[in-house]
Amino acid sequence: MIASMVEIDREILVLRHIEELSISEAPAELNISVDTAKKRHLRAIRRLQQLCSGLNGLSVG
Amino acid sequence: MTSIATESAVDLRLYELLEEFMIMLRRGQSVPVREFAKRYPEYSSRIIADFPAMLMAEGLKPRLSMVPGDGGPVEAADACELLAGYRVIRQIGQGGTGIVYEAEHPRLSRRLAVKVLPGRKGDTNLAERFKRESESVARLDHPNIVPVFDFGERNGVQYIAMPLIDGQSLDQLVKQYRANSRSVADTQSTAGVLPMVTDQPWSKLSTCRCDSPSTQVDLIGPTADFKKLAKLGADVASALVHAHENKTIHRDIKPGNLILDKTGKIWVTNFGLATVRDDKSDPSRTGDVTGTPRFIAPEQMRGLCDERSDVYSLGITLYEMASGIRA
Repeated sequence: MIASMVEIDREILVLRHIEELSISEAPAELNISVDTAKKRHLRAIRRLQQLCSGLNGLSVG
Repeated sequence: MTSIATESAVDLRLYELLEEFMIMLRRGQSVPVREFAKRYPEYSSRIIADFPAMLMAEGLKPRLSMVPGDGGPVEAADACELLAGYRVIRQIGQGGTGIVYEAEHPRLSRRLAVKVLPGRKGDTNLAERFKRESESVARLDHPNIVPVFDFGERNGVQYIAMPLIDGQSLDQLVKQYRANSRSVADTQSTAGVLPMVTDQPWSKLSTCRCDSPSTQVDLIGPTADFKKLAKLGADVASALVHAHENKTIHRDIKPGNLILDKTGKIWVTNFGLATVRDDKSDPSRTGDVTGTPRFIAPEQMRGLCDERSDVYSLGITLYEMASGIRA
C-alpha cells in the first residue's frame, strides 16, 4: 500500500510513523521548513486515505 | 484568496489535533476516532475523514517502541531492563489495557508473554484495572484459561507474565477466512489485502504469537467442522463457569480474546475488563460501559453486567464462527 505512494508522501510517513521523528526532527531530515513538513504530512495522510477508500473503506471507531 | 488562507489555518489547527491524538496513541491512552472528534466539534468531520489513515500509518510500524511507565519513548531494549528481570524479545500486541511483549525468563529459558501497563504514572483508572486483571486471573485455575505466571510492580511499572501461547486468536482466523473467501469471490486482486491494513494497533492484544500461518480454517463458515466448533464452545463455556464460580466476569468475550493453540486447544485470555463481584453487590451491577460493541450484551450498553453477559458474548462469537459473517 505505502509502496504505491509517491516518494514525497512516503518519506514523510516513514519519518513520522515508522522512525517516529518529531515534527521538529523530521523537517530537518528533509531539509524543509516545519510548516512545509506539516502540510506534506497531512497531504500524505489524505492520499493514504484515498488509496484505502478505493478498496473498501476503513473502519472508524 | 481568503478561503485559501482560512483553509491553511484550519489545516494547521487540525495538524495540532493530529499530533495530540498520535501522542495519546503512542502512550497507550488512545480513544476511538469518533470519541476524539466529539471533543472538537468544529473539526469533527475533518478528524473523522483524516485520522483513520493516520492510524493505519502508525500500524505500519514493525514494532511500536512504547514506554511502559512514564510516557516517553524508549527503545524496546531499554524497556526490557524495566521488565522485572525478563528479557524482551519483541512486542507482540498492544491494547487499551496494556502492551504485550514476547519475553524470556533468564533462568528458566522459557518464552513468556509479558504484559505491561502503558501510559503515564498516575493514571489511576488504568492502573486499577490492570491490578484487577492480575488479581482476578491469578485466582483462576482452569485448563482453558491462560494462567498468570507472575505479576507485580517493578520500577513503577506494573506487569503480568503469562505463558506464551503458540497459536492464533480466533479473530485472526476469521479475518483469514474472510480474506480467502473474498479473494475467491472477488475479481479485484486488492480485496484480500485489506484486512491486514485496516488492523488498528490497539485491537491486537493477544498473548500469542500471531505470525504463524493458519491450519485451522475448518472452524469457520458453512463448511466448518461443527463438532470441533461445538467442542471449542463447550471448552470456553467451561472456562467461563470456572471464572463465574470465582466471582469473576470477563466482560469482553470475543474472537480476539480466544486463542487457538497449535494442538487445537482453546485458551481464554485478556481478563482486562473483568470485574470481581463481592457477595454484597447487586447481581446486575452498574458500571462503565465496556467491551466491544458487536459482542456485548444489550444490558452492557446500559452499564449493567452479570454472568449472563459473558454467555451472550460467547453466543455471538460462536455465531460469527459458524456463519463466517459479522453478527
